[in-house]
Amino acid sequence: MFMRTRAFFLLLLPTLLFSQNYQLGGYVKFFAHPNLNAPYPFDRLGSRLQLRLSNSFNEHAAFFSAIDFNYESTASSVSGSLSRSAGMDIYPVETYVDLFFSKVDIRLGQQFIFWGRTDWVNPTDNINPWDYRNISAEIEDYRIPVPAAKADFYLGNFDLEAVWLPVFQAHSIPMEIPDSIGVFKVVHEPTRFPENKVSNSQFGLHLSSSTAGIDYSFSYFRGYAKSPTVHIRMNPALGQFIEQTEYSTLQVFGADFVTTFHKFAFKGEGAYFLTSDRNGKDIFAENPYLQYVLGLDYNASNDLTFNVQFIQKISFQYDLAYEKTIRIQNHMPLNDLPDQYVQSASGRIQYQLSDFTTVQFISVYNFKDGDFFALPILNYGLADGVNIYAGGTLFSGPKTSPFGRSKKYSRAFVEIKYSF
Amino acid sequence: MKRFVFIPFSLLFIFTVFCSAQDLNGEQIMERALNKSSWKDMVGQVRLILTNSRHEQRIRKIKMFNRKRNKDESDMLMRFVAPADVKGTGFLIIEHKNSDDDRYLYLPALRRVKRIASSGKGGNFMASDFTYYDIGKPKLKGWKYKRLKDEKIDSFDCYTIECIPATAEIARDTGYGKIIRWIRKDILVTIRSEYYDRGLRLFKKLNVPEIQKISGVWFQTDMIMQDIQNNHQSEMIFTDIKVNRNIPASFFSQRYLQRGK
Repeated sequence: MFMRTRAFFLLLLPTLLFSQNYQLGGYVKFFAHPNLNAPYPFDRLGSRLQLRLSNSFNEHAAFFSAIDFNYESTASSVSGSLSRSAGMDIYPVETYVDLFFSKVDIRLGQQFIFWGRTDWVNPTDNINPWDYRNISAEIEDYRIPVPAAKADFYLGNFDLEAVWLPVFQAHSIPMEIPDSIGVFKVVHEPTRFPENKVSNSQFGLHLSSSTAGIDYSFSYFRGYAKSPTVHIRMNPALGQFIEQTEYSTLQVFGADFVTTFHKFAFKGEGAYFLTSDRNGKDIFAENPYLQYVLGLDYNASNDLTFNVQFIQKISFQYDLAYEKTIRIQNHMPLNDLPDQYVQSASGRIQYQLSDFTTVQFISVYNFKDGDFFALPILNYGLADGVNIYAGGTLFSGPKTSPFGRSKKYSRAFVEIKYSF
Repeated sequence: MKRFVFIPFSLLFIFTVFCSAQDLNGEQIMERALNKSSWKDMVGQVRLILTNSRHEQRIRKIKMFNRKRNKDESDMLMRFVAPADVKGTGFLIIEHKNSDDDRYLYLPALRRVKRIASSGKGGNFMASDFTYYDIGKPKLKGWKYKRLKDEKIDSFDCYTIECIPATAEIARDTGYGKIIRWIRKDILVTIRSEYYDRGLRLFKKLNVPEIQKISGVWFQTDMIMQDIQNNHQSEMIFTDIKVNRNIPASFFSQRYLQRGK
């Protein structure tokens, strides 16, 4: 099947190249991502050619296609994702057709659809999954495109976006499920994904507008959680644990806003996640919760910009005594009990170091465990269209904390990119 | 006999015009320069050449769409055409007379439109030595004008006008403590300016080596801004200018900003 896909793209390319009015662009990039944990293996080392083809047929239709031709000399087992593995790989980043009407724009195909106005943490952004194993300088590396149909309706001062996602795609998350708990063996059942059928389609609505200098939107998403629920239950007859990973249904009701005042931008975004465990009785599944972000951007000067954000997650139907009781009954550890309130902060500083050099530092910090994620990026524009990126994705914190668990994925990166 | 009547009236007319031009004060000249026949909307290509102190250059090509909503407010949509690493980046400014401008940035890499905080009129335009104030139409109000001695610049007779911000807020917003403009007498177009910072030290110099009349409107088609303090230079060269194309108001929206490929 995959070979046929490759052949299709290879056949399609010359056809497009020789068609009229096309625009051909893209980039060539070399990348090296050494892991920052001994013995410092290269998580990724290779090069990529991305070809971007686009064309527009008068004012009513257009197409766009971006295809990566990756050659990776190495991809270590801890960080290599399914789609970007060692060796030669063709990866369709985006391929879609646009149709433009007077009040409606339609986009059909493999695409990115991002919602939300805050930085990095976007509770309303639930369309494209993340590749958490591959966070680097480019969004295309760590967000996963999805096949979708999107329609934007322009209704006076309101824009309504409707999105239909026929198939489910999960986050790519570094997960380690132990093979034993105490003296008991853990038996892993095959992961249950939502069945590929029309009735399992996901969809979303996003209504945005602007009044009195405030841009705002409301959104709704109905589909599946992109992070799995891992159920572990004891089978006393066999004396072993059974592990079952599955993806549960999810509804998300969201809203966001942004407004500016002189050199400041005030922004906020929040969403209520109605998970499958509505009454909080499944200790393995996430309870319904509210997550919100309040942020401030400040343009200190032409060269220096700041963003700071406060993030809170509040779980509902939360009963700590019940959680403990069930865990004890199931011989489960008590050291990673979920909290009802989780507070975090994030920040971004961007500074124009010199005419062609920019440094950016992004970080997310969890107050409870003191664990953090940091992403420093230096970008040097060597010439028009030629950029050098250097930086790192750093995870730190106690072993049981969210970022501390990812410590072994900390790595540096150097990328040289020539765009044409 | 008719000839004798005609000559004194012609002389009188020329004398009146001459005297009136001589008598114009700084504000009146600026008012005439700002209110001369202009355009409703404009489309053009801009070649922006940035040169740093080490004489390294970066060249940006931008497609620019501009529309005047009324006398004091305009909309501007810009889209980078080159170089390839910034191609598709779009920028939308909705100007407001009595409040901060709305500014939106579309970054193709992020696939979303972002509303950004204003950096004031004194913020750098596209990382160049031009500020948003420099590239916009100057406002008559809010400044005090003084006519200095007329001068000849590149063989053109020019009015020399000193512009001082009327309030500390305007000085802070634009970053200027004083501007001196040389305005050609024949067509009322600025061909040279000097910009002083709020400490009244010379900050930047603008030279306009080329002016073109397009569809009856004079355009500064080549502008060179030198940052004296930082030894920088930015040049904006306008080509393919078309005016009064009846660009619809809806074009200056987030919808068209992100349709930028």
